[in-house]
Amino acid sequence: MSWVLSRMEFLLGFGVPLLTMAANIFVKRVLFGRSIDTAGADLTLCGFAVLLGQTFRAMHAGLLGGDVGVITVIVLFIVMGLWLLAHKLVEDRPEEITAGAAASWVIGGLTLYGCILFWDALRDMGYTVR
Amino acid sequence: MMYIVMFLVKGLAAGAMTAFGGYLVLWLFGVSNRLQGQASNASEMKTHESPRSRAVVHG
Repeated sequence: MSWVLSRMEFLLGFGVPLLTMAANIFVKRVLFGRSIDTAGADLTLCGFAVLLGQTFRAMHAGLLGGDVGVITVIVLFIVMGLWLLAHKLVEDRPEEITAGAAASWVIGGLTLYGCILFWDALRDMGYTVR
Repeated sequence: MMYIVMFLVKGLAAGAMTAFGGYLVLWLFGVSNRLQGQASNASEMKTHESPRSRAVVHG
């Protein structure tokens, strides 16, 4: 991995979270007039679902074991913690975008980025990921 | 270690861009700086007495 983003890394790591957030806010707030205070937590949960699904798939195929398995479980717990944090940072139905709400949105994007590119990151760190 | 720092920095950049995208949607549709929509009225009713119970109290 380098500081320069490849086209696929940009699409997966930046484009997917951005589009998911935009779609979430558009549907909730613009179409249905709902509160969007949990938009960041929603993205974090998306990241958790992506990683959990891929983890189960890898376990089913017998591809997950050793250090990679241990790291994956730890990261899943961290993502759950970030999900709770993203909720904790936002007051219940605030009127305006607070610093906490903005931070929870950033945490959502960061988590989804990390979960989508998790296996690539492990591979780049030298672990054997099949 | 350097790799993890790089990953976190890029992740934070992705998060900032994501948050900006969310704000952009609000701004584009003229609902900036508002987290609540029309549902706020409904939530207000939930936290207060319902019209029916008020009618009973005052009636």
